[in-house]
Parts: sequence; structure tokens; C-alpha cells
Amino acid sequence: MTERWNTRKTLLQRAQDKNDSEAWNDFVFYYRDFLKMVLVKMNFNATESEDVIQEILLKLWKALPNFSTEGKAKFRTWLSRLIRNSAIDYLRKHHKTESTEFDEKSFDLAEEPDVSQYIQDEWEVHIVALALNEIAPLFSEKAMIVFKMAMKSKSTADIAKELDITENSALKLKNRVKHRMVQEINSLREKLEYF
Amino acid sequence: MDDELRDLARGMKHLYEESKTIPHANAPIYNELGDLVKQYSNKTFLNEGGMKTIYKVFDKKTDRYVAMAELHDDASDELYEIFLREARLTAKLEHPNIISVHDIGLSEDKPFFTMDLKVGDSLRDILRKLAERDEEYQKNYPLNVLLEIFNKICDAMDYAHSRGVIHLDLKPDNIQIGLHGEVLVCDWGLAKIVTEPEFYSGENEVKLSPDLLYSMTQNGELKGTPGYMAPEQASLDGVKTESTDIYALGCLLFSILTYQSTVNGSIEEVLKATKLGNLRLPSKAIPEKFLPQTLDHIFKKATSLKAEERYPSVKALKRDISNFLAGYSTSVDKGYFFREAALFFKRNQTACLTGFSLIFIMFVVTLLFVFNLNRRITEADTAKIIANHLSQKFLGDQQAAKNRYSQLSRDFVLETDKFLNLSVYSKPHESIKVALHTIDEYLKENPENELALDFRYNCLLIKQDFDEIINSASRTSKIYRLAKRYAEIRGSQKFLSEDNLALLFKEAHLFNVELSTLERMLCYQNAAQPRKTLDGAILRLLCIANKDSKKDFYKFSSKTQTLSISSPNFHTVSNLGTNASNLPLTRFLKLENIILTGTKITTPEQIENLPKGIKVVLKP
Repeated sequence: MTERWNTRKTLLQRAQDKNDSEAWNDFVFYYRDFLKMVLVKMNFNATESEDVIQEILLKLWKALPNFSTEGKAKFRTWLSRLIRNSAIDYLRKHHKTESTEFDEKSFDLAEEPDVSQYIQDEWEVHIVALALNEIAPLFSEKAMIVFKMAMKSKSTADIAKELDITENSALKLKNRVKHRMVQEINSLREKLEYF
Repeated sequence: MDDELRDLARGMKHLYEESKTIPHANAPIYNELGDLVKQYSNKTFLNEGGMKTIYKVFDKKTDRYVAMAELHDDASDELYEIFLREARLTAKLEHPNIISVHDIGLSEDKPFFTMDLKVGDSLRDILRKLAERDEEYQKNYPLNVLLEIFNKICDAMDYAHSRGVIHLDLKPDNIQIGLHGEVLVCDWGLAKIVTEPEFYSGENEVKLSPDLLYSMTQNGELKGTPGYMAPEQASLDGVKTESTDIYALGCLLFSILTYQSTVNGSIEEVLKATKLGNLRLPSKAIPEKFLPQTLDHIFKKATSLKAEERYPSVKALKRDISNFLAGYSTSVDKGYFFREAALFFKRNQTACLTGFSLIFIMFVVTLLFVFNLNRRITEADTAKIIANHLSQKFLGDQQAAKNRYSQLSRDFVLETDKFLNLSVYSKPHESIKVALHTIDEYLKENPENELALDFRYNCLLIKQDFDEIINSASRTSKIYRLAKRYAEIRGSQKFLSEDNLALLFKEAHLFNVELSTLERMLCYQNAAQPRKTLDGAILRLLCIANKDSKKDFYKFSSKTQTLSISSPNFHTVSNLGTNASNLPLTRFLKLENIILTGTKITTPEQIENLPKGIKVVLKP
């Protein structure tokens, strides 16, 4: 049994401790981009989104120590609800009506399940992107290219042809990167989603 | 984070879902357990018993080997319940000396259970090896180790009884001894639950109720192993209680002590003997081992024919064994003072011996003291009488004592002189030193004793310590004058020269110096200056000894080592009067020939004390 499995606290657990400022900084580091991205998608401009992010982080900071969860995915649900509510609060405060300011591309904040789903989907994308960033330096450029091509549903045969390598090695490169990606995603999730 | 990356990530979002399928990438055991379909593998046959077969299997879940019990392949379905009952019952018994059941289950509808994999020998194997006099086993399992094992069996049974379970099939085959001394009571296949309410006390204890476990041994069949079976077990209508196990423990004790079964013979004979209580005593079964009687008593009590005469509990039996091992008296030999005392002595040998020794020493010392006291008292009485007697005599004796004293003083000096005489010729220096010391000590007490003073001056003269004589002797005395004269002649030298010594010898009679003293002087100086020749003085002394006044009659040539004597008076080379050594003076010369011319000597034998080896030539 690994040490990590047994004793290491997840980032969320550590962030619950108000004295552990390092954990909180880490937490902010991992979440701020995500929050910003989501808020931009909700048509908040830079200043507005910054305000809402502050609001959300403050609430998080206050609520985290008391947060307890039985299930693994609860935090994500809870967070998406928090984001949505904070956005709505902000709009109300600044006399914006919910419908007027949103263009047709954006979604209706009133439809809670949709918004939550959207936020959760974005979170997943965020995690994958983070993972991609983390592992990129570990592999050769070629390996990454093979992997990205494969992920765009290009067949191994095509990739091999295009990059002038054997099919076998293309498959090998792809699997190696993919395996690492899955591991990375898994460890990020353990770090950022689980209590 | 740029949009391109995000788009790329969006394209591979399914990886997020995929990662959920490896929820614990760093937890191989967790994953392994999740994947596990079959728990047990590598099944190998170990042993076969009455109704079950034991296999060794690998438990993949716990990653170790365990023993798996299964019913025989041809076992009927009716046995399933009995088999599982044994498993459940054993599982309820949690004790270090009772085999642990790990798992009970069905495999293809056939029941099985797993338990500790027994490593080591069964007690039966051990006893058989001991009976065969296997040296290794004899070394590893002496009597006290076997009795410790027995004690652990008792522990297990005591526990089982406290849980309301009786074993009913205790025998060496069912006791497993591990490589590190672990003792396991196995095979609870015949075990039974007793229903007496006092066994169910305490709320938190796991209670075994007969409703839960269906008692199969009560169904009127004869079960157990002859030779370890109690009489009540050997008869069909007997009531089986804890006592039945105690009986079996007694038989087990017998086997441990003798490496044999209590009774030999066919099953019928064994059963008959069991019912009649015709059991041999361990010490009779194996007389060459000289087993202590206590063990016989313990065995007899445990295997009493009537259950109520046996030990009331396993604890009581164990206590006796423990007491025996620790050298205390047991319940079966209470009341014998001497046995008690002997055990006490055995347990505390060192302390007892020390105590006894101390008491003995004190006794002897006291005795000696009393004897001494008595002797002192007697002595004191005697002394008193003597003192009275003496004091009366004292006055009358005073004069006599005075005379006696002066006589003693004289004797002392003469004795000293005699002593000096003994050694002065062989070791002149040491002898003179001792004599001077002795006489000086004496003179400290008696400074006026003339004899002693003379003796002292004589010694000083031999040493040629003229200065000391001048310092202490009276100026009118002859010895003072002698010392004065020769001190001047000698000058600063330590000793007189050859010629001057000869002169002193010549003049000696003028100072009343004895010839023996002259010889001593010669010895002393010769010893002090062994390389110096004293021939002249020797010839002079020879001349004096033969009462010749003319030295010319005596000549010595050291070259030819020849002494020529032409005196008509010549008759001796050794006679120097009283106190002299009587050794020939020629010993101081390197002499080989003596030529005698015109002497009265006619044969060499007429010369007294002439050493052999010297050629004597007689000339008219």
C-alpha cells in the first residue's frame, strides 16, 4: 500500500485548514483559471468576472472548513451550484436582468441543471487541459503529436503515414502518452476533487 | 490557459471518464481484490481425517497459504451440517492455543472452511520420535518442555470450557506443535456445547447456544478415541461434561510422560479397561524414567473413574502441573510436611544452603568462644597461684637470680662466639657483621660486660677496624695499643700489607691475641682481597703454629708451587690451638709440592690435616 493511499491528505482536505495558506494558494492556482473561463462563457467581462471570482473564492474560503462529503463527486456539484448562484447574485446586485444581457450563444442561468452540467463539463475539460500541460514536457514532440492526432480520431495508419513512422511505433507512442494522461488526470482529480 | 489547449482538451474529454476506471492507480492490492474471481488456488493434498480432507491452498486475498478442510468427495449431504458446525464452533473459539478458522464457504455447493496452516509436528509425531529415542527430539522436548506444552493445552481447554464448549476428542494427534513452540488444539469435530447456565456470564461475550449449533454427538453413537476416552464416553448413556475432557487431559499427560497410550490392546480390551478404571500409573509404565510420584498422583486424580473425583476444572489440573514445574506442592500431595520442606529446599537451594552454612558457622564460633572462655578462666586461676608462689619465692631468690644473670650473660657471649666460630672461616664478612650486630645489641643493654666488650674488640680486630677500637677501647688496654700501632703502619689502606700483616702475626703474642684470631684475620683479608697474595703472613703463621721463631725455615715458591720446610720443629700445617678452624693453612696457597728437609716427619701421614693431592718429598 502506498504512503499516498494511506496518509496523504488531498489538497481539498488541506485547504479546509484555514492555517494552511500554502494549500489555499494551491487551490486558488488550480481553480482561478477555471472560474474565469466559466464566467467568460457566461458573458461576464474581465472586471465583472474578477469581482465574481473574488466573491466565489471568499465564499469558498468560508465554506470549505465546514464542508463535508460522503461521496466523491459531491464537491463538483456543490461548486457548480456555488458558481451559478454567485453569478446570479452579482447580476441582481448590478441590476442586470438575467435574460437581457445574455446573447443567444450563452445559456440560461435560470435553468439550474443545465448550468451545473455545463460547469461540470467545463471542469472536466479543465482537468484534461491541466493534465495535458503537465505531461507535455515528459514526452518527445513527436509523441505528443501522435497522441494529439490520435485523439482527433485519426487512424493509426494515417498518423504513421503522415509522420513517416511505422504503425507499430505510432501505436506505442500513442498508448504510452495516453496511459500517462489517464494517470495524470486521475491524480489531479484525487488532488482537486476528493476530500 | 489558451483556447487552443482547451479545444484540444475538449477533444479528449473521454480520457476524464476513462480515468474513473482506474480509481486508485497506486493501490495494487485494492485493484487486485477488485479483479479477484477465485480466492483460493494451488490446492495440494495435506492430510485426511475421519470425515474431512485437508489441503494446502493459496489464499489470494490475504496473500498467504492456509489450510482448507473439505469433506471427503464421497461424503453424504448429511455430513454437511456437522462439518460446517465444526467450522462455526471452532471459529467462535478465539484463543492462541486453539486453531483459528479464517473462512467458511461453499465451493460448487460443497462446504469448506479454511484455517491456520499448521507448520510443525503433531504431538503424536513428537511422542513417537521420543519413544524411538530420536536424539534431536530428546534434546528439544525434555519433560519440562512437554509439561509446558501440556499446560498450554490446558489453557486452551480452560478457555473452551469457559465458552461452554467441550472437545471430547483430545489426543496427541489433535495437538499441533509449531516450530516456535506454538501449541494448537485442533479438530473440534466431536466438540459439544454444554448447557449449564453458569457458563453464560457477561453480556459482551459471544455466547454459543445449543440452538445455534446442533449437537451431533448426543445422538447415541460412540465417539472419541479409545485410550483417551473417559468411561462415560465409552458407555452409550454417559453424560459428557468438562470432566470428560479432564479425563482425556489425564490420558494425554500419561502419553506425554511415557510416550505410550494408557492402555494397550484391542479396542474391546481398551474400552473394558477404561470402564473398569484399570489404568497403569505412568511411573509403572516406564520405570526407567523414575517419574516423580506427584505426577502419578496428578494422573490418577485426573482419570478417576467417577467424574466427581476428578479435578473440578482444567484450571485446577493446570495449577498442579504449574506448581509441580515451579517446585511447589500440588493439591495431591498436600499435608506432608517433609515433602513440603523438601520442595522448599529444592526451590531455594542456594538460599537454604547459605542459611545452613551461616547457622553452622555461628554455632562453631560460639562453641569456640565458650571453650576459650573456660580456658582463660582456668589459666587465670593457675596464674594467680603461680604468682602467689613466685612472690613468696621472689625475695629469697633475688640474689640467686643475680648470679644466674651474670652466668647467662657470659653464656650468651660464649654462644655468640661459638656461632661465629661455625661460620667465620667459610663466610668471614657476613659472620663478623652478624656477630658485631648481635654483640652491639647486647651491649646496649649491658654496656659494662667485659666479656662482651672483649668479644667486640676481637671482631673489630678481625675486620682490621682499628679506628673503631681506638675510639671505644680504654687507652690503657693492650688492644688499644695494638690498634694504635697498626693503624699508623697501615696508613690510609683498608687492610695491612702482606708483610705488615706478618709483622702483626709476629707481635700478636705481645698483645695477648690468640692464634685463632690471627687465622680469622687471614681469612677475612683473603676474602676481601682474593687476588692479593698473603704468602708472607701465611708463612709467618705457619712458623708460629710450629713454635719456630725463625721464619727462614719456611719458604714458598709460587712459581713452582712448592713449599719448602727445613725446621726440625715442624709437625703441623693446621694446629692453631682452641677456636681455630683446624683446616690446613696451605689452603691459602696455590700449593702442589711440599719438600721437607731435616724435619722429624718420616711419612706424609704424620702431617695433620694435610689435604690429599699434595706431593710430599721427604729429605733428610
